Amino acid sequence: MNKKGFTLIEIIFSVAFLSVVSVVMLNLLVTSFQIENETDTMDVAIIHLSSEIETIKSQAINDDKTVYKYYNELWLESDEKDATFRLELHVKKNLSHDRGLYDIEGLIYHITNQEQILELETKHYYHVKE
Amino acid sequence: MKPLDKKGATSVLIILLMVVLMVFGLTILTTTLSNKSLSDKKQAWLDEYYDLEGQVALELASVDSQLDQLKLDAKTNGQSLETVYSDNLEIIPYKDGYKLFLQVASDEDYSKYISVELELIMDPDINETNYRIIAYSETQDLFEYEDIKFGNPFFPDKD
Repeated sequence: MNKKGFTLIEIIFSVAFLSVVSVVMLNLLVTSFQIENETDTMDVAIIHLSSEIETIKSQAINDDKTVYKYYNELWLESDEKDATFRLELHVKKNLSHDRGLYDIEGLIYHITNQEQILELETKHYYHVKE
Repeated sequence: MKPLDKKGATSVLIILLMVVLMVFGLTILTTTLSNKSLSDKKQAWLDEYYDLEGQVALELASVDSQLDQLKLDAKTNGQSLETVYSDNLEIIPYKDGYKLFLQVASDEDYSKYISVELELIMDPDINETNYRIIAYSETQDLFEYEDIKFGNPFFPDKD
């Protein structure tokens, strides 16, 4: 059998295989990177939101209150115009009790993507009366 | 000596490279997915925790209004707070006064619960508050693997 040119065919097939595998692998890497990014964002969002909720619980509240905070893409506090994320905290009187009981709702929005990425709800009772 | 035939070596190298790339990619994907799963668990845990805290807040509000009412009753009937409280609540002696113990669970099995201890203020003239929180703790069942037994790898059980 004449085996001349066998190596060339081999290389052509190898390059084709390698290209297919590389495309799949690159896709996998891009997906991993996106998931990792979302996870990271969620982790930091949780830390910021729970920290704000705990702060509001430690303050003396005697009326409804809303807190807005803005963060840039590195999660540093920023102005509204440079912000990528917006944290909202709504503290509302719970009407099932005459005083002291408040509903706390915390939200984090991704401003650029216009989507809500996190929501936490709780209640707090301020037992020291004014 | 016959020279070594190197035909086919490229294919072997390429296959090896592909395997290495695949292993590398799958490792990254697995790590990312476990990271995501951990993050989801953390979020779910926090959700449950704040839900439970909400229930505790409701319970504290209800206890506080009950204490308000009992204080008023004591004043109206000319009784001591100690008598009225001990008749209506399960109070426990604490230091020079009394404390009240509360427990709020997320389910009937008490797999996750918050315990609160309140020191009752026994002075009827103090109106700002009826209690002081002296202990507040959250307890959760240990995470258990089901149907997995970890034996001694050096001396395995015969059965």
